[in-house]
Amino acid sequence: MTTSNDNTLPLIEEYYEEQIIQCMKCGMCQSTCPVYYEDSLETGCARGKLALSEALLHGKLEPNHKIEMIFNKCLLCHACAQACPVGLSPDKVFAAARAEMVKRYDMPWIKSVIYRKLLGQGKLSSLTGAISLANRLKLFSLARSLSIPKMLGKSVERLSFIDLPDIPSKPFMDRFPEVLEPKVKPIGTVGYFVGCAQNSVFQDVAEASVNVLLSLGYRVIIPKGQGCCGFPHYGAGDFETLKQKIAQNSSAFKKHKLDAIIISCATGGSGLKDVYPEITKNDDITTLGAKVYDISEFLAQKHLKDLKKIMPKNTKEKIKVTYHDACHLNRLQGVASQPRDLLNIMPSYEFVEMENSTKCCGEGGGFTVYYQEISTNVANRKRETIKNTGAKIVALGCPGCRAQISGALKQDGLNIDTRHTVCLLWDEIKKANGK
Amino acid sequence: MIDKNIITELENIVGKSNVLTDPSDLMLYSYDATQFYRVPDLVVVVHNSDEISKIVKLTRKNNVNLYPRGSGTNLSGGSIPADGGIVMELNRLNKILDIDVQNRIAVLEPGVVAATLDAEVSKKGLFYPPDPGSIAVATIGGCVAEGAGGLRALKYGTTKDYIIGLEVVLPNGDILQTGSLSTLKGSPGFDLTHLFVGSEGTLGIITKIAVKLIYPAKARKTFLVMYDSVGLAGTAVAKIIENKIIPSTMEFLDKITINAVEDFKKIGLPRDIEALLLIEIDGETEDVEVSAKILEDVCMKVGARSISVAKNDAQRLDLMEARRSALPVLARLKPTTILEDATVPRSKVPEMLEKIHDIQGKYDLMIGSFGHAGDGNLHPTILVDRRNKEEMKKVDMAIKEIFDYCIDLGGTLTGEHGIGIVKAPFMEKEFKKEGLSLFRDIKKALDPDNKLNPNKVVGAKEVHLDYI
Repeated sequence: MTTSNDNTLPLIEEYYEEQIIQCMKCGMCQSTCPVYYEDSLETGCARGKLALSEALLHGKLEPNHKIEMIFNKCLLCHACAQACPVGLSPDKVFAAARAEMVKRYDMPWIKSVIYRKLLGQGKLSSLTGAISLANRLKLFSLARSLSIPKMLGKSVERLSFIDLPDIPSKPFMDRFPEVLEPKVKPIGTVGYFVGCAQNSVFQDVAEASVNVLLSLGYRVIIPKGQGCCGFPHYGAGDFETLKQKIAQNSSAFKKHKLDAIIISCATGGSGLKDVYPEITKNDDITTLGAKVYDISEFLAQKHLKDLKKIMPKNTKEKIKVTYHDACHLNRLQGVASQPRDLLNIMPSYEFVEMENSTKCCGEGGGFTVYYQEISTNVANRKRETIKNTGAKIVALGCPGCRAQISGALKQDGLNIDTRHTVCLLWDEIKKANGK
Repeated sequence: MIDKNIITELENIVGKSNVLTDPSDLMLYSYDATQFYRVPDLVVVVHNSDEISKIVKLTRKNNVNLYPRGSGTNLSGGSIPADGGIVMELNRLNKILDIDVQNRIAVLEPGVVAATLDAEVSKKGLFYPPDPGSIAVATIGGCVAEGAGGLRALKYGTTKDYIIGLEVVLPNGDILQTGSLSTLKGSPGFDLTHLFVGSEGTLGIITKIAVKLIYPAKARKTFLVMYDSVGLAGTAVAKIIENKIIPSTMEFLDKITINAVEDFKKIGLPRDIEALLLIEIDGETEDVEVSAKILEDVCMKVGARSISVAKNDAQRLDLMEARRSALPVLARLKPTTILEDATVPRSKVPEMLEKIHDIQGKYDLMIGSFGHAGDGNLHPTILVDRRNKEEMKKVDMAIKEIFDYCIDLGGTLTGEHGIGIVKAPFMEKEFKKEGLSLFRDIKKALDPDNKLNPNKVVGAKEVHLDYI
C-alpha cells in the first residue's frame, strides 16, 4: 500500500464520501440493476462498486485498469437509486470514480476522438454530410453484412448495430436561423437546446420540437453559440470538457432573455437539470438563465388543452403505439406521465403500455462498447416486451434509446418504427392542417 | 493464498471465467449486510450440484475453507469468509423446477430470488407466505439457510414452516435428499430436512428445495393504531390475540422511528405518540368483517388515541407507508445502521423496549426500534458512524446487554436473521454448555474437518472482523 499523492481520490472524496459510507450493504440495488440481472456478479450492482469506491478511498485497493473497467460496468440508468433504502445516488459516485480514472490514465485514443473532438469541439455536426451520404447509400448496412465492423473493432461494430433515419446533408443548426417568429403575436420566448444527436443524426426531432412550439405561438431562439450538453463527458469521466461545455452553454443561453429552455433529448435534459447543478452548485436559472424543460414535460404541463384543439378530427383507424421510458427522462427528470398524456390526446394512435416500460434499454454510452454482450441482451429483453404489445410504433424521448431500440428491432427483422413523442405530435398537427 | 494446482482444478470444474482471483473481485465478496468484512482468497461461481460436490471434495482434500453464498444480503455475517478460504457463489442455480398446482408444492434451486418465487406461484393462484424485508433480492437458499421470517410470521410462520424436502451436498461431497420433494406428509426417521433449515451453510450446501404452498386469503383489512405508551400498545397486542384474532401482520414502531418517519416522509403522524401498531387481518370476507369489529373495539378499550382503517388498496398502502419506511428513514439519520433481531415472549415486549431505552441512555447511542410485535421480534436499530471507533466499542457493549436481557426474559438471540458469526459468541448463554456441545457434536459428525463455513453458529473459534 503506497501513500503517495497519486493515490488520493479527491473527486470521490469531495463529492461523495458521505454517500459511499452510508451504503449499508443491504443489496437492494440488485433488484433493479439491469446489469446485475444479466450476469449476477457483484461487480454489476451498485453495492459492489460502492464497496470498491470505499476500498480505493481508504487505500485497501489501488486503482488499476481492472477497477476502471468495473466502474465502466454501469449504464448510469439510476435504477439502483430508486431501490436504495437510504436514498443514495450511486451512479453519481461512479461518474466521479470514472473521472478519477481518466485523470490517472487519460482516455484511449478512440474515446478521446469521440468525446473531445467529435462531441467536445462540435466536430460531429461537420460530419453530418458524410453520415447522411453513407446512410443514404446504405453503407452502414452493407458494412454490417460484410462483417467489416467486427474486423475494425468494438467501437465500430457498435456503430453498425444502431439504425439511423434519413439524415439531411447539413446539420440542423445550419438549416434553421437563430430566431424563429411564430405566425401570431408571440405568447412568450423559449430557447431551444438542440444537442449533438438532434443537430446531426436525429434532426427530425429538433424540427418537430421547434415547429410545435411555433404553432403554439412561441418565439423560438436557437442560440448559435450552444454546443454539446456535456453529459457524454460526465459519463466518460472527462470532467474537464464537461466544465468547458457548461461555460459555453451558459454564455450562449444567457445572451437571450428566455421564459424557458426546451430540450428534446432525455440525456441532455438530465445533463442540464441534474449534472450541471451537481458540478456548479447552482440551479438551472442561475447557470442558463431560465428553467429547463423536457419538450414533453413543457407541452403536457402547459399546453395539453391547446394541443387538443389542434389535433386532427375524423381519423379513420388508430395505429397502436407503445412508450419506452428513457432512464434519463423517467428517473433523472421524473418525466413519465407527460409523454403519455400527449400520446393519449393524439387521435391517430391507440396507446398501449408495454411491460417493464421503465427498464433500461441497455444503451449506456461507453458501456455499450465495453460490455457489448450485456448491452445487447438488455436490448433484446426490451425488444420482446415491445413485440408483445403488438404496437407498430415505439414512442420515446431519447436519441440513445432510439438508436439502441431501433437497432434491436431491425436485427430481429421487426417492422416497428421508433419515434420521438414530439414527432408523432407534429405529424398530428400537420395532418389537422391538411398537410 | 490458494495453491495454483487447486485453482487449475477449479477452472477445470467450472471453467476459467467462473474462478475469480483478482483483488478487486475478491473485495466484492468480502461482506454481507452486517457490513463486516474479510476478503476471501478466491471466489468460485457454480451452476449445479455436480460441480458443487466436486469442489467440496477438492477443498476438503486440500484443507481449504469453503463458504456458500447467495445474494449476500444476510444480517448475521453468515456468508462472510471470516477465516479465509473460498467463497462459493450459488446464485446461478436459479431455476424454478416445478410448480405442482395439484399437490401445492414448488421445487426450486437455491438461487431463485424469494420475490420471484412469490410472483410465479401467485400467477397460478397459490401463495408462498414468508416475506423477509429483503424479499426482492434474497435467495430462497439463503432464506432456508438463515431461517428467514417476515411480516406475516405471526399467522403464517417463517421459512422453516414451508420446507418439506431438500437436496444437500454434504461436506464429504455426497449428494443427499432429505424429506420429500413430492409429498406433504411424512415421518420416516430423523427430520433431516429441518437439520439443514437454519444450518447457515455449516452442515451442507443446499442445492434443491421443495416448499409447500397455500391458497391466498380472499379478503384483508388494514389498521393503524396509535398509543400514548408502549405498555398500552403491548396490552393491545395481547388482548387482540386473547380475543382469538390472529392478525397476519402486527407491527410496532417506537417514538424515535415514528419521528424519523415524520422527518423524511411527512405523512402526518403525531410526533408525541409513543407507539404505533400496523395491523392487518385476512381470511374469508365475512370473517374479516367480524374480526375487524372486535379488533377495533379491543384497541379502543385498551386506550388507543386513534385508529385508522383502510377503505381501499390506496389507503392500505398509505397506512403501510410508516412501517415500510421504518428502516430506510432510520438509516438516513446516521452513516451506519446496525439492525438487531432480539426476540422475546410477546408479553415481554414492553419490558424489552424499556431496557433498550435504558441502554440507549447509558451508552449515549441512538437506537430506533420497530418490529413484529405479535411475534415479540424486535429490530432495535443502532444508528452510528462506523468511522468512529469509540462509538463502535459502545455498540458492542450495548448489543451484549440487549442479548443478555433478551435471554433473561426467556427470549432468543434471533427471530429471523440467524446466528452466523456475529451472534456465535452468545450461543452458550442461550443453550448452555450441554446445548452448545450437542450443536458442536452434530457439526463434527457431518464436517469433521470443520471446512464448511467454519466457526459460524457453533463458534468453534473466536474470529475478529472489522467493519468494511
